[in-house]
Amino acid sequence: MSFDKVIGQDLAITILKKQLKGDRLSHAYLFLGEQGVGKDIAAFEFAKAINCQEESADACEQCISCRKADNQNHPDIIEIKPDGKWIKIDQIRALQREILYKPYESRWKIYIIYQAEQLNLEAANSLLKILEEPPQYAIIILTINNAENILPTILSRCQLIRFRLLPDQLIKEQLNSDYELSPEKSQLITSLAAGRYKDAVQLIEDEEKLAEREDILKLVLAIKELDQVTVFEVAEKLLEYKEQINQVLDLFLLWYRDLLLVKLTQIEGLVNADYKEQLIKEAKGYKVEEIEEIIKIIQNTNNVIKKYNVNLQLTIEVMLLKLSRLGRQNRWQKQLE
Amino acid sequence: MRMDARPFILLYLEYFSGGYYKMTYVSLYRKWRPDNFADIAGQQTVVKTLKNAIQLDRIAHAYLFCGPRGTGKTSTAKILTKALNCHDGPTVTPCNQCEPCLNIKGNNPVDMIEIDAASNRGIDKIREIREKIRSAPLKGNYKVYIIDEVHMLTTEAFNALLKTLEEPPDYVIFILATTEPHKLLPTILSRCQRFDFTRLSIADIKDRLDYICKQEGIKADNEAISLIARNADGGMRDAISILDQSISYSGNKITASDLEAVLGLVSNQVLFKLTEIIFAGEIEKALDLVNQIVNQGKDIKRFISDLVYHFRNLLLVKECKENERLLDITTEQREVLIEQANEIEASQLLQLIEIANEIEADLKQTTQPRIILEMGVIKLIKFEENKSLIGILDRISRLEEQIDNKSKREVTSKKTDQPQVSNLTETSATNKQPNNDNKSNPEEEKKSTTTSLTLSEFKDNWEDILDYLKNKKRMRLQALLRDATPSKLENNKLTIAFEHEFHKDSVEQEKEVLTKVIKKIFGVDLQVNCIFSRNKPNGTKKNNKEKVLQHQLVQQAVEIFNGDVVQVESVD
Repeated sequence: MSFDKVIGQDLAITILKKQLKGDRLSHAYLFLGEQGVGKDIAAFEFAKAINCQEESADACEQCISCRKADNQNHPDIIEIKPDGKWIKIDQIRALQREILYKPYESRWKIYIIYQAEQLNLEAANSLLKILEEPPQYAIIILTINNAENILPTILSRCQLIRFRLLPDQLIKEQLNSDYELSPEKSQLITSLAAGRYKDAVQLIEDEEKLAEREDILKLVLAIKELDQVTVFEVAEKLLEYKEQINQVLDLFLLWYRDLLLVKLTQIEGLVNADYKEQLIKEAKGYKVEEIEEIIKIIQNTNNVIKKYNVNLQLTIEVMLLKLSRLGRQNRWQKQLE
Repeated sequence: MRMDARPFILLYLEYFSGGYYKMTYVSLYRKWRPDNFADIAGQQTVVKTLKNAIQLDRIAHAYLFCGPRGTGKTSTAKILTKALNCHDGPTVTPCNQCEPCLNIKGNNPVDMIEIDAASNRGIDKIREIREKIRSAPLKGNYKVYIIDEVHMLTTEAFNALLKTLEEPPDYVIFILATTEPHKLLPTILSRCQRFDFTRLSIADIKDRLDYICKQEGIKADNEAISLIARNADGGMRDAISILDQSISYSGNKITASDLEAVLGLVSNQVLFKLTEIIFAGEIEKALDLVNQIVNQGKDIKRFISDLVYHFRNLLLVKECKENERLLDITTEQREVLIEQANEIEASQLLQLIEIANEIEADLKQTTQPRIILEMGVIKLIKFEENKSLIGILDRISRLEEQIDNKSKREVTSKKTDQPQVSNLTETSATNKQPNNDNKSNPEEEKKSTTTSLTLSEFKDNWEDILDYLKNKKRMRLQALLRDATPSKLENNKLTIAFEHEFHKDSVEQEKEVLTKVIKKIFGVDLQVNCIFSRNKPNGTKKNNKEKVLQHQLVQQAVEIFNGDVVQVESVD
């Protein structure tokens, strides 16, 4: 049925179904999980199931309510998404006004707020009162990637439903049943997706993504030999991926994570398994502490870009300069030894 | 027709009066809001003060309730209103039967105005309050304004509130509630009686949960209730929310394993196992386990903080004899804990806790929790090499051992090789061969050494001196010494040869530092003498010239320009 669209989130779905069956729906839910694991789909399907006229614990996909929802045409399921980067206070004020009107045709009126971490401070605070005691017929569902990015007061008002990263095995099976892939490719895509099915699908459907990855890995390999001049060339190349710089940096991180594992003589479970030989070769040139340091630098840069409104070019350049200095220092030390 | 219409109208009325929904389920935390002062969990001082104020008729006109989420700020404000406006009131035990009480409970109050300051942040709302405040209460004794989330008011709104807040009419009471009192103006703070609500203790939460379970007919074992209380982090609303969720997950009987599933917790056995693996230092096994945990969709942050808690428990059983009060566990668990605690030193545990805490902080802001977790576990395993204080102490003691062994070996070797040098001690190191100095023959030098130190030994440890200087941030001195070589050591005099005159001069100015460093590292007092080593200028120049000519770059240049080398000059 319609909850089947959500892959691999058995626990979350079980909890939701039990609540539907037992008629113990809470007035506020918070769906928590990494990006691309199916929260948003689950939230929408849950809303459909709540209002479905035929079935009690799932959406039938047949009744008028379900069909309206599928056509984005349901008057009692209202979706709120970031307007620009943020969800603003006016959007929440509109919610507060409209939520007081009884549902038009269903028993429940459901608001879904996607990417709730993008609620700006004012909006989040103005949500508090209505989230605690909405009208009897209202249910508010929030979806969020990281519990650290939301007010604890919001968190404590909602019932928390956790969505997990999918096990690799499951992603692989699903991919093999949905697409025709060679075993190597499905393995590669599974490990690159790192538990996020949506990413895996993206990798398959957008051929360029894989080619992009090759290019980015070339840049990673170049980092080791950087001097003060080439740093800026690499930075320029990185800035071509301005829109998805976080994903690019994630690829960097995965590469160094693999290096670390290889260094510790663990060859199983590499993400970049197709580069195994290269990794083994590369690993010889590094010390464990050095790799840890590199991961820390990239991680920090990633956080800064995500959290603050920084000058992207400067941040990337600073990161590369730091990495190249680290590389030089270590080479120097090695020579001394 | 009329007969038919009637039931419809009735139904219609019922629908819009809210009756239709009366049977719907209400969240437990809303259902079990405290109704009177006795129901409020924890917060004894707050409750006592408020009760006394009512009994002694010393009610202030402005209160500020602050504290973390789910500690009872808004609930207490409502109870206080009830207590003041109850028909029997002001009383410390509102009846919950009379009209004002029921109105407040039904969220339909007359003389209680609840304002959501986060949605109505502007000055307009405050102006509206000032207008309406003049009209007397309709039914009760007091008109109570509860301004919730007050920290979100704008500065203008705050300032507009000041005058009213200081001297409202007799019948008006303001209650401001917020989680962030530091965002309020000091002028607001000074006009209110402030009550700080504290996080609830685990015992308080457990009592309340037990009570609710009993009332709802739920069977929950003690371990499960403890788990909920621990995970609620001091907030009653969080606790009841978790309880609610686990009831809908597992029905009327709740066990610890249900909770582990709902909360994404890692079971105790896994914690024990991981700790064992960490102690044993098996990286591969540890990474396997991490992989399993991630694949099961466990809450990674929770997992690390549970691990810290586990280490803490280990530390407690190890260090505290009377730990019953501090440890919330069964005797069985305690025995297993003690067994594991015996495998490790307390100092190591402290270090593990420190590292795990760092991982916890790192995890908070990452999109790649798995990488951080893997790295963290690797760090936990390789922690001896960590550069914390204890690690350094360990390394020092190891070094001391090595030095001890070495000097013993030295003494024996010297005794066998050079029987003619009888005095190896520093004090007697004064005499011998004053004229034998200009030639740098290593063998001779060895013989001439009168301290416990030989030149070759000194040369071997030259890098140590450089490293030491580097660590002490004496970068300049270190750089200057980099191209120097100790060339002679006799009569407690160390001669260092420099390639450049400038370097020599510079070092001479900082001789004392060098002497101190040598004393520190070798424990020997040496006089430092700097010389300029190019005493054979012709020879070295020739050498240099040949070197330059042989250099690849020069040869290439000669080839490209098809030229000859006319002159070689040194550029100092």
